[in-house]
Amino acid sequence: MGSPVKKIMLCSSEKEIFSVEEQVMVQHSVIINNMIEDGSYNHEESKIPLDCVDSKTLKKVIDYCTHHTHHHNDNQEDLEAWDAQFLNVDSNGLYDLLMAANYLEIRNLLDLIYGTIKNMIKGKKIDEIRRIFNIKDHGFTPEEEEQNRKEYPHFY
Amino acid sequence: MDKISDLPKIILHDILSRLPYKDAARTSVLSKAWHETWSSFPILVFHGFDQGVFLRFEDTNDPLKIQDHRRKVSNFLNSVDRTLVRFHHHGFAIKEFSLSMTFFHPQFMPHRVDRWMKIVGESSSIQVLKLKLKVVDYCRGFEFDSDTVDNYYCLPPDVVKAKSLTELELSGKIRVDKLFVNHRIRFPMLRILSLIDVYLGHDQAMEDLISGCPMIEDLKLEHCVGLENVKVHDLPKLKSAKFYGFREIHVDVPSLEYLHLGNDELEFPCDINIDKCRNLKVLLLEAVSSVFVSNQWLLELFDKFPSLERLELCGCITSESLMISSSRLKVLSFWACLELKEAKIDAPNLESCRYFGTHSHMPAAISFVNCSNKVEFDAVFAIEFRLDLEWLRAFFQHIEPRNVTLSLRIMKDSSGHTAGLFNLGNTCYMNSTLQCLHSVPELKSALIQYSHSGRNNDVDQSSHLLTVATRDLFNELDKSVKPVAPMQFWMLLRKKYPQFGQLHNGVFMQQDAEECWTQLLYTLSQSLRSNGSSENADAVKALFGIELISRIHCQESNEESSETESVYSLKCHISQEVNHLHEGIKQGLKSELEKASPALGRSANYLKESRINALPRYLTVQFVRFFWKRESNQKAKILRKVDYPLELDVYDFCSDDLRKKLEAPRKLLRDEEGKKLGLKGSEKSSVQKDNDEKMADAEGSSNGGGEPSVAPMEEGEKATQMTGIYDLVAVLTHKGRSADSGHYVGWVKQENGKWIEFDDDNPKPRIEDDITRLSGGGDWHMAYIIMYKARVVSV
Repeated sequence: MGSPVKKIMLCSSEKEIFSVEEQVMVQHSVIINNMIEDGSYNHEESKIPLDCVDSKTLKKVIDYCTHHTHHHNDNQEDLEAWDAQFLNVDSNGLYDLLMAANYLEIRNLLDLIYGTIKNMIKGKKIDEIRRIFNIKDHGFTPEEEEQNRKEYPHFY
Repeated sequence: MDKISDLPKIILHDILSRLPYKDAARTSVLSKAWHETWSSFPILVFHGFDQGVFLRFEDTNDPLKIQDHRRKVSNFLNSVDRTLVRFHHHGFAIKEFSLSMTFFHPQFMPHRVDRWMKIVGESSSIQVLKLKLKVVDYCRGFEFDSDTVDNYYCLPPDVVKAKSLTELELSGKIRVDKLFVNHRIRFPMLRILSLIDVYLGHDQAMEDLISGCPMIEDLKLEHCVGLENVKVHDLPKLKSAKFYGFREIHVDVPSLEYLHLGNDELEFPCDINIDKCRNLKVLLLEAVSSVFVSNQWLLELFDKFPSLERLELCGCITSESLMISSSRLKVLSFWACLELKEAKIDAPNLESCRYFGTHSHMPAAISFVNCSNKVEFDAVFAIEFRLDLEWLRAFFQHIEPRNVTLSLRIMKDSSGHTAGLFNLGNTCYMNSTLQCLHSVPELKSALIQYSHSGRNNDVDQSSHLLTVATRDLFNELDKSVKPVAPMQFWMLLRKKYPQFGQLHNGVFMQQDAEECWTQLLYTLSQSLRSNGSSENADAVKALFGIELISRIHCQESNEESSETESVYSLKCHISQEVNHLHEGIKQGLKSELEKASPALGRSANYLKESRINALPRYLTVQFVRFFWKRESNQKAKILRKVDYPLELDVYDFCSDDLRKKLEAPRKLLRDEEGKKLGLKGSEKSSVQKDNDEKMADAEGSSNGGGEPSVAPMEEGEKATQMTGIYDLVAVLTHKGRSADSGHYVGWVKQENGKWIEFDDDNPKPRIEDDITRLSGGGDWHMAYIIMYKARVVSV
């Protein structure tokens, strides 16, 4: 075995502890990078509480950062295929990931998710987007909805 | 509730800002939550055209369509109003405001736009401001000269308050000069500045503006009115610049990496000084006539700019043979550099090379002396209707070495004169006339030499402007693939000849194409005469003028006199006896007139018989198909079929003097053609081509006397002589019952021998049989004016 890899502890909203290579998180998360740099993280006893990120999401975030650290030399196509598979989640899962990425300031994951949401909207009809986002109650009164449909028939 | 709709607004705005604006706008009706997100989206884009607010040219005479357009304009303006007031009221941030309208009305709209600019200027978060205005050049009841500065929109000082601006783009009829009077412009954050077609007033204005924006990285200046000389220095951040349409360009910015220079008005010599831009990586030159690309020029270029990686030459004048040698160069491109015959490229780091060839010129032989095996060679060829495979094969065979990756694209040629003209409301008489005259290359070259400054005092302003408009329109037709709207020309034609602006029930009336043809040629003849130097005394007369010598004989008194006159067309009279053009012209050259006889002391009938004494380069014949019918008070039409040949011999109509002069050249022509026919059975077209190439020629010495002399337009051209034989090149037809109604169409032979029917904005390829079928006799299009081109021989 090689030299021991420096690890940090991340704590999910369910108080579950995840041990991750420090380098992986420092490279991707602006927030964690700042914490390590300014010395506010103590390797002996600290763990980083992420109260707004649940275990399931945190595991995914760590997966993403780990893969992109170790495979950043892979060719573009393989990485894109991995990303596509990674983001194959429902819209709620996407929301959780986005909020986590936003909280941890993981710029490339944010861009990836923005891009995915962008593609869910781009070139699609309203009814289609509503189905994709699972919008059951659009909140318009029947009159408003009818008015919209009349005014912009090509949107629907 | 779904969670995505629940995302913080700032995140959703970020996502929306990555979408095409159309898709982003659509989310406003997705749900109430998305509607709210949209209603504070800080990027405001109002593009009239994209939102369907425009009036098609063919609809400018349709009251219903105009009304509909007015309603759309008003909705558009109100929606901008409402949105901005809402943003202002709620204190929402505006990051970007982009407004584009083609219907700016200089009387009614400035106040509104001022109000918008005030709101935008006061928004502390505004970063991007884009404003594109086009003045309505025509709407019912109003007419604006969109070039008059008074009709420009004057940018209010409120904009200057927007210190947070990082990007400013102004395009169109916008006046910014007044901003300099009391307000010192300062945009400390501005990175991107783009001024296109705006009115700047004077050279100093530009310097003032630039000096207040020290952070500019990207500067784009195109055709700024009042700005002739661009001098740029003291912009330490400048990386990229584009300057288009200036007389003088001095750039002294060491940080500059990307420079695009262009000039589409070829007659302006453009003085360029960019020597201090030592770090230049990319240089694009587009039709800069003052640059002659030679080996010496290239050597100096790579020496001056050691970092140059990309060189693109478009429409540049080059030596026939070039050697490009650079160890840095990665991208090299030759677009329509027609003089180039051979290029050797010694560039070991070259990654891509592009070549754009036209149908009219043999492609250059390109070879690589020293190149890596990853060079991608992109060859683009413009074709008209067919592709010369021989040329293409030769082009490929010349490329050395063989391992160069080559891609080939074939595109429809934009320089083939196939662009149509939009009908602006019964203007087919004008469109067909323009298309026929546009087919005369010598007229085009004479117009190109006519420059803005060259106006002589003998020519009135309206003739001058009409000439410039003709030149510009011909130029546009040459450049465009899509139909062109001859708005400017039409406005100036009506200004010069108000009769063409006649309205009937609020709609412009159909006019007689023959009148349009004659008047236009007359105007061009006036302005081109006074403009040119003495040897080019009257270009139009030299091209189209027919000199007639007439014998006027009184049968009663036997008095006889002769007179000479110059006309622009022969008349083909149509009577019961006329079945063929020949007979019609013969009748047209004879007329009876009544005049005072000195011998008889009273007026008497005279017979006037005319003969041609000097031949034009282009012979125009008008079929006298219309006559004034008193009972119906309109020009009625003679539908009789009169055949005309593709090849016309006018020898019979010539005076004895002229016949004598024609004999030798005619014999020469017969011999030449006989020889060619004998050698190569079917290659008749080569004779044609030879003649076409010698379009600019001087009259031979034996053609003395009263001959109009055609000045040589290109130096070194061999002298040629007329033969009296002509080839049909253009037909203007009319369909319908009277000259002031029905439809006019132009049928024009292209340089490659193909015919095109120009039915307004809809050009169609035709064959010769279609052309001879236009001789009349039914309700089909029938020839009204036809134009022949002289077949000449060199001596």
